[in-house]
Amino acid sequence: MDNLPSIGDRNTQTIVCSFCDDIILRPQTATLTNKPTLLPQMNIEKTPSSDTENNRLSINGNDHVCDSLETFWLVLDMFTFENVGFSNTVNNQTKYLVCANCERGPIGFSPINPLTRQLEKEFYVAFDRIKYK
Amino acid sequence: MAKAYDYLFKLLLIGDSGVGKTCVLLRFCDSAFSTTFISTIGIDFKIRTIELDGRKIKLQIWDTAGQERFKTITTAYYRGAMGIMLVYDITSEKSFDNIKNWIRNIQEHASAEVERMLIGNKCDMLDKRQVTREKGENLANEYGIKFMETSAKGNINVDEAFFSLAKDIKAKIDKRAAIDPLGKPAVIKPKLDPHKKVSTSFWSRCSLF
Repeated sequence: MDNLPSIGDRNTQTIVCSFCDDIILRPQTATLTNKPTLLPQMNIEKTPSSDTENNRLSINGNDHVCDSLETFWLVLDMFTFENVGFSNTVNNQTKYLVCANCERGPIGFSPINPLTRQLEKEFYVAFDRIKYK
Repeated sequence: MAKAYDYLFKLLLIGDSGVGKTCVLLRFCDSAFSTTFISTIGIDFKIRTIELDGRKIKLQIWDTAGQERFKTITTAYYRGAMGIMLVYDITSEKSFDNIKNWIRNIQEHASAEVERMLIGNKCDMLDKRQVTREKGENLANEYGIKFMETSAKGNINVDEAFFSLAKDIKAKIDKRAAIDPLGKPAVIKPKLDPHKKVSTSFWSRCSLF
């Protein structure tokens, strides 16, 4: 993007997968939000580097090295997405978002209500894991 | 801003284990992709947007997620489904023979109006073929449904299959709307709140959340 967007701004450009260019969100459909979150890294490393020792999440019994991310594009209706994949529910609390075409991710997440097991209708796409077109 | 979409269809993939349903949903089942994050967790469903006749259609595509191991898929899974892809493996006679059982399961649990389509997957594996194309076509004719051979791995006809099924569902809805223009809403429009359940019409039950 030409100018870095601020929190509360809408996306002015199309948000696409940084690997395969598949369209994820059309312009003006998401709002930039601050939401500090540990998001598992896209590539699973067998021998994670030591500086990420603290950023780990256990998923289905396996440790995943995570990035600590703060800035996300927020969407409140899943059908706002042009294309997206939802993972199975992890640890009874999260579904991760992946590219619907190449399936790389997670590009974001959506919280699950642990009691109802339903999606909370908040869909977060990581600012650092997508690109614009 | 233009409205987000004109139609919303819930589609299901059904068939025996191992026929490659997951590959139809998960386009890459190759080991080359097995190191990616999602392969350890699995995909629940996808949202895909396609355009037909200038209309925007949202597809919500579900896999049976291993439920087929229990041989019966419950009514809950079929709820609101508007289209079903019946998938067999052209290299497995057994998976083809079981399609009849799946059709019976659909007749018992799904809405009578659900649009069905027969898919012979793995058509890239010709040297291992056990089910001829003709057999697939004949079965589809018997049930009056469409047929296509696909290769999820080779990305042959997968998009075409989804387009074809979506087109048939849309035609059915449009036809119904033309007959009964003052009837219940046949098209789910975003402004009508897609989360709201209206129990009187099958076509208005196509939203899950």
